[in-house]
Amino acid sequence: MSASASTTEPLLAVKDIRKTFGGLVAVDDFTLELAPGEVVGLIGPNGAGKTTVFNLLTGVYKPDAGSISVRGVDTGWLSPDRITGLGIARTFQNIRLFRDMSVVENVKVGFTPVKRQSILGAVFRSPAFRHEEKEIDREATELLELMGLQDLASARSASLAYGQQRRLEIARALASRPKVLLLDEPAAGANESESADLQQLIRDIRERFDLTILVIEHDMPFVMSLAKRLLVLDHGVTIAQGLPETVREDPKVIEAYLGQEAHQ
Amino acid sequence: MADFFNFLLNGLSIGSIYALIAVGYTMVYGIIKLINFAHGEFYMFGAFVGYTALMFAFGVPASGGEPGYLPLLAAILVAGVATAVLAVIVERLCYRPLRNAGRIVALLSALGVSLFLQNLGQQTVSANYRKFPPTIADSRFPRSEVPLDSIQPGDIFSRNVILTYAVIAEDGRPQQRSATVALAGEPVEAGQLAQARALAQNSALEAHAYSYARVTINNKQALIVVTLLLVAAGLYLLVQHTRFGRAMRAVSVDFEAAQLMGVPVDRIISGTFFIGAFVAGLGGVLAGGMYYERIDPLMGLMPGLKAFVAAVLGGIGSIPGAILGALILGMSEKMVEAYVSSGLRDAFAFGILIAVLLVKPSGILGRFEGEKV
Repeated sequence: MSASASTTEPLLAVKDIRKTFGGLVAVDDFTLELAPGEVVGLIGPNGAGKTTVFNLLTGVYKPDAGSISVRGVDTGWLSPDRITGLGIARTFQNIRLFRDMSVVENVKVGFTPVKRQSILGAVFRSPAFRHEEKEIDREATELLELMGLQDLASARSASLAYGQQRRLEIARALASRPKVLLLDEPAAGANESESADLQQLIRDIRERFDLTILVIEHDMPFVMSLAKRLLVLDHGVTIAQGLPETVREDPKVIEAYLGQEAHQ
Repeated sequence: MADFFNFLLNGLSIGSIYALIAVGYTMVYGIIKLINFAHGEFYMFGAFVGYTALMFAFGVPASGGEPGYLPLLAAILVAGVATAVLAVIVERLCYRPLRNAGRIVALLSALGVSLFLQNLGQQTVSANYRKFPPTIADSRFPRSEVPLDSIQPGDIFSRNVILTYAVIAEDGRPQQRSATVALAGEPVEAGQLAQARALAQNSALEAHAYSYARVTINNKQALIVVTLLLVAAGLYLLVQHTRFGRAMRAVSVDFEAAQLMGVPVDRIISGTFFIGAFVAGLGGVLAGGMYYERIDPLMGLMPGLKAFVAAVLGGIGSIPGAILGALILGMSEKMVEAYVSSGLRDAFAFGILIAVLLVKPSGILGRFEGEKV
């Protein structure tokens, strides 16, 4: 692994990746570079391949062609846990918390890539281990406070309200100290005021943790206010990209969305 | 009534043996949804490693001597670790490459590993039973010693008085025997007393006569139950209060999400196999070796199947469930054997499996409902 990724290098570099399932091309020639600190929106009609892109970036799927590198490291055949260890973390469109575990335990699982005390250390409760345990407790509590979930720390995560579960997923993702955060429809199911709070929250964590964010979102005002740059996918193909206001005017984008609505 | 409680204690210890195997079954199922049918063979393998360790390293030499707890403990640890290593290798070679191939494929691979290990055993160490080397002396509790010299013909004891003595067996090692001196409520016969005194005189190890309580537990059975309690406490601490346990639970709820949160799932799975097989391996030494004192390459088959029934009964995937299911199975099986028919014991156990699958497939403590195999 090249530990010294230079600062000019993009955090995430995706080059011409392609993924097919059977005969269906889910993602075709997808290219993306994320510079440090950027917020980029990934939009497109349902089934356009947005979540597939996330699955490719995080190693759930391996691309049939093309390459992905995170901080200069080619993720080629790395397993998803190793890729997460490189500094990329995500949330899920359909919430995937560890349902039977408590809220704080969910966050603690997120610390796995950055807290590496061995099992022997745990068995013998070495000073280094105990120190690290305390650190995890403290940092987990901080993350929960940031998400406004501190009072629910010992509640079963599945018992949380929908919006709280979404925030808990963000807290869990932040625990691995990512450089790049992938948010999959964070505002789904949120009303207008919740959505506004969430926008503020995302801006705050970006500042505080020095994050680069790629966000999938259907809520157009939401994504346009957050992202400086948009990519539009339709049937796996990137049909437009650029500034939100330019993309919005793009005839291909309008057609993709209108076409979809016409079919519904 | 005393009989009933004796049967219950006996069933408890048999259930504890099942439990030592069932926890591994249920842990592996919990984390990768695989019924590892080779798990009974881990129990067998452990017994053979323990046998080897006692025969060639820490055991009682053929020239005689007192067996004891320390050699047994050493054999248990060696067998546990060796079995755990075997399980990690089996997982790496036979299950991991099939992880995305579907559950039936992995299950077939597990059946293959099971048959492979049985046959490998039969080919290498022969299919014959072999006697396990002596470990600790048998005794039952509670009891009180009755000096043999103090007994007179015609004495009446309220409890059975039994003599424990030893003879030199064919292999040159002392072997424990027992003989009745007096039955509860009956006068001591002169002939029987004289015979007992002669046996005590010629005993290879020190001989003692004890009067036993009506309800007793065998020391070896007690040791198995105590071991299970220690294992249960250890697993509870591991699963609920360590980072490894946290990661294990996360993988068990959502494998993919755990991996995406950076949990090194391969290592967690290896660790789960290691721990489950460690417990099965030590169970093999304790049960097949120390308690039953005979081992063979097929000895894992029946206990393995019973442990599987126990895990399903308790709710497969749940560790407390597996222990509870195993204890219930062991005790009820013993009751069937004692009060109905010993021939129906196994049929009863597998009847439970069918009944649970029909009536409550999630088991007593299981939450997950769905395809079991």
